Amino acid sequence: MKKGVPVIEEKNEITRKIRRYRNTLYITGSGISALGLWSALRLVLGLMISPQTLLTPEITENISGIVGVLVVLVAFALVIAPLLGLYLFVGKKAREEGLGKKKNSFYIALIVLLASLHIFSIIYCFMGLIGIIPFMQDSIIGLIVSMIVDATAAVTLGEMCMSAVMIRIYEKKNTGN
Amino acid sequence: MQKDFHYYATYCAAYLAGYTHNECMDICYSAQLVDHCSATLLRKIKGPVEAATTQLQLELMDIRTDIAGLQDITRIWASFHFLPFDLYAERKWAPKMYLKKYRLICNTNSDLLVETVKLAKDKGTQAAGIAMHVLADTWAHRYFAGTPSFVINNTNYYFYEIIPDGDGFTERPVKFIHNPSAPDDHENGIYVNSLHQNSETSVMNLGHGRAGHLPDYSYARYRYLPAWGDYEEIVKDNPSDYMNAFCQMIYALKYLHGEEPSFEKNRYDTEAVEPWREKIKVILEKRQTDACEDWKKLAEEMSGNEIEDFDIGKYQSEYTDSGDRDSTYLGRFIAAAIAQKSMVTYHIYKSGSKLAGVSITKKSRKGGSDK
Repeated sequence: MKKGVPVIEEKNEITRKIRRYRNTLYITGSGISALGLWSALRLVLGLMISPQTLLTPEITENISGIVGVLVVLVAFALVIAPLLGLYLFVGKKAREEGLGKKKNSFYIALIVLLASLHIFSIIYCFMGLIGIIPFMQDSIIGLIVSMIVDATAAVTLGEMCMSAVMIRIYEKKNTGN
Repeated sequence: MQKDFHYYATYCAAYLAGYTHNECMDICYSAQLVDHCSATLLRKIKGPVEAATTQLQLELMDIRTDIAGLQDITRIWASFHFLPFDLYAERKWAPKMYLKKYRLICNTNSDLLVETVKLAKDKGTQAAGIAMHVLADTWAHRYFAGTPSFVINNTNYYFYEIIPDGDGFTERPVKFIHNPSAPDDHENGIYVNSLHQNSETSVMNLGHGRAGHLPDYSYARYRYLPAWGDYEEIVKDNPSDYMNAFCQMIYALKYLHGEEPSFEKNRYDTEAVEPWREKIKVILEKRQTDACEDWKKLAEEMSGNEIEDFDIGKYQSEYTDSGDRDSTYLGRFIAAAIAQKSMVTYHIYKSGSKLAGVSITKKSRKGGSDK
């Protein structure tokens, strides 16, 4: 028995690394699913409670009555639903791979797509912050918060992507050994 | 471990070590009492609360997890149920606070185990029983620490039960639920564990709470990722570990009985157990959450005497009504419990950790030192 460290049955370094990346995938997958749900909820609530923070004054001024609100909600649903589906799909696939169940390489492309959307959103918010997009100038705190959330999501997706790729590299090495 | 091993199996080990039936009863009663001697019980019999060897769920629910509360918990659980393996273990890049907790991880054949058994020498059957409880638990509770710690004791979704299937084994993920009133369902692999609490010092993260009672079942084989293990997997084989525990108990009890000159690490009495090995193996491998009936039958077959069931009130009136409490069964149990707790607390403190509290060493009148 090695003094100082309790006995561990397995000492395979590659297997250990694969486990580490799988765990990262599982955690980030859960996080991205939660982020997708939260983002959708935030958009719906934002539209219902204060549409002026999300829409241009031209649109908000022309919304009148329940029909107008419904039209906007439906229009947003067409954007929100696929986006939410994308988050949940990516999250589910990452969790599945993290648990060692199924492996699907297609979702790595979707991770890159989502990460690009968040990076684009950071740039978009930054443009709003410096006044290039005038209608968003009233909500500086909102823009800063959005940028922080987007940056977090982008980092999480980056970590997820890296883990998925590293798993493939180490599994290849393991098979090679 | 549970009553089946601490009471009935300890009786068997003591019998095989050469003790008489009555001595065996005293030893196994003391070994089982460790799981019942809580502060609540001690208050009831007006005994010293510092002799507590366990904490009830209700006590743990009530306890404050401030420094004093945590020290109280650690003193009890590290001394009697999760004996630390190496109080001077090193780990690269580990912060001091983490390292102190890492050093409390329980494992078998430690220096502290040798001290525990030697401490019980010539101290009577009560001390022997306590030592056997501690020894047996090092096999069941290995890889967990007797202090509330999320970073040491937590487990996650990576937890698989390994089940014998013909000549080989199959695996299935363990499903943990948090209903404390629900029984463990070993048929379907559904076990009760403590709630996930990411608070470092939540009592939910004490010992093997996050792995439920799986470590306490002799039939259980499982693999999982301990929080402290840096993604290295642990494969736990309880039937094999419990057999080792049984053989080591016989060896330790032979030492306490005077048949072995010394107690050394990594020594097991496999000879004495040989005639009973197959029967013991069958009991250990049988998928049941309570093996009391089987162990009792075996113990009665071994000694030819009837083994009475464990009765928590057996010695209480003797203690409460006595003018000389120290000489009663419970009085001697309490003295042995305090000695064991002091010894472990002293060693933890000496290693530079105050997780179990501060140990004061003073010169005794006899010239030695008291801890």
